Amino acid sequence: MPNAMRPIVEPTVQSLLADIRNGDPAVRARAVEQAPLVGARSIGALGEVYGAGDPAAAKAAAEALRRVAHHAARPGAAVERRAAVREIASLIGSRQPHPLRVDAAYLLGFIGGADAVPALAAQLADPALRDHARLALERITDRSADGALTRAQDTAAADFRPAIAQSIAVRRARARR
Amino acid sequence: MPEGRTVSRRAFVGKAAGVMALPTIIPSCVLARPGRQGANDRIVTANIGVGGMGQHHVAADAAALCDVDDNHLANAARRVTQGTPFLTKDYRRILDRRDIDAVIVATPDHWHAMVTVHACQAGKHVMSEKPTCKTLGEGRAMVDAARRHRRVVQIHAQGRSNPVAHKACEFVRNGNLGRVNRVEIWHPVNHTTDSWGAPQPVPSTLDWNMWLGPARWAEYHPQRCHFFFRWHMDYGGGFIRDRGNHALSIVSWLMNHDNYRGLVTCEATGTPMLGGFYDVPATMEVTWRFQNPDWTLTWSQPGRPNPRFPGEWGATYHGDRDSLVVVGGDGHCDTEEKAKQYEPPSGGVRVFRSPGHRENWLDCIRSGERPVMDVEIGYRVITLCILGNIAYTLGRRVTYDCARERFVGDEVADRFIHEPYRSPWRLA
Repeated sequence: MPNAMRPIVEPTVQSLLADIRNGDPAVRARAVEQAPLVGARSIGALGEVYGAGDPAAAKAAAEALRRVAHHAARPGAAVERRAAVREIASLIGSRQPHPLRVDAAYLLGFIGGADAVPALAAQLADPALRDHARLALERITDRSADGALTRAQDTAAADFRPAIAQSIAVRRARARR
Repeated sequence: MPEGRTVSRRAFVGKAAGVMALPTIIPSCVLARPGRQGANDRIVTANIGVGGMGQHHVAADAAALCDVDDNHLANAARRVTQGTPFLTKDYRRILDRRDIDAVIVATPDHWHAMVTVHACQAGKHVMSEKPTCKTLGEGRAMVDAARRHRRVVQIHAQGRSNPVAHKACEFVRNGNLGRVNRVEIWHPVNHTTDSWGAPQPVPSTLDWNMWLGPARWAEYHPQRCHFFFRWHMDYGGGFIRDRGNHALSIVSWLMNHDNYRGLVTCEATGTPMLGGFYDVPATMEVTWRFQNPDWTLTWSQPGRPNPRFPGEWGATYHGDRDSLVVVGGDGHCDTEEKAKQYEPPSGGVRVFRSPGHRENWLDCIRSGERPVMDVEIGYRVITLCILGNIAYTLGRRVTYDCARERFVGDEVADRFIHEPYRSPWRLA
């Protein structure tokens, strides 16, 4: 029986990961669609696929990660959202593959609240990720992002301070509207 | 030859002054009262973005050309046969020039809003290629800039100047289909690639940093750049934000929907692009539902062409008395004979007929009237295309309030309205 025609069963983290790594594009596509059913507990495992050297599996993991994050952040799912933010924030550190860090910062900008700000603020000092972290903080609506950006104005590298100032100005202008 | 990025202000001013001395380039503001061209004045135009579609907008008398790729500039310069155009890689050098009245913007999509807003601030009229913009916030900023600075801003969704589309519009607006409650758009799928986008050396002719501009940093790859940018969410957003702008423009026109300010719900599904580094969906199904009057619009990609009147892409309008097929809606548009032969009765609905998209824009610069594809119409049309991508990305139905310009009960969706920019790029 072709992989893609296997009966649909409730996926687990293990089955999701196996299908994301599967060589059959149809199986991968189905895994991406089902990833939200597994939820935030799949996020760490999906992150591991990024650095495993298979670009097709990494792409499928990235798509799955996006779907998990946005599903968890749907209206009325505050507990799931917090769990997803916690898991994604754990993927942003410098030991992770750069594309994963970039995707993690990008997603936190959309689904993160005050709970995402410390992880992003910590990356403002890392030249490899600081601008992605700044863009995410600019997008976060919680006011704690203002504090993180303001504090970074004093501590960030001199060549990065204009970018931080820009984010602060944009947020202030938006708040006035 | 194009200027290097390090050209000094003094050198620039000197060169600009030389061009301004050309006898053929007399700014219309010298000939007419401030802010309004005289009926017979020449409107001095410049082009910003002259690769791809942009090269076709270059007039024989263009006063200045801008592109971040030297090859585009050189090719475009050959199209100018009257005078010697000023060449630059930085559009702000064109906006600084007081001898230029209006600019035609045909940059990659993620630049449209930035250049348009800055051009309005500099007192230039604008014709900008479709799609109108990349985000909803950008569209609002473009409209506000056009109104605040009283500039004529036309979006180059030129189907509104197509005579066949005009026939279809009068046919539908005069009730020949009865009440239209469903419009179905079909379109081919998005392009694919086998490449995973491993970084490549930036060509010596290209200013990659300037190409990216406000977009978040990404390493250069040729399939991220010219033409292929269409298949990346950060720049193009797929066919729905490209041809979708044309297709939905025609739908909005025929349905007399430009001024709709009610709620619209949008649902989108699609298959992810897993075979390469493009990130727009491979296929896409989108449904928009409008209220008062209630009607439904669908985008099917791939969709099945209507066998009654096939074409690569188009729409079928289903009314309670009849239906009509309209194919295309950009420079090309065709429809069924019953609409092409139609003449409104005495007292029937007559729709303004544009003499041509560029001509209409230039006419409006002289008259101060709104063009046929005014920036606010362009913004309202592209709003629907952008909603499709947002609903697909979120994986859920969204409801958007077209009056408040906010989503209803979805704070995460609201975060798609504005896109944070790389420094130093700002719309304000």
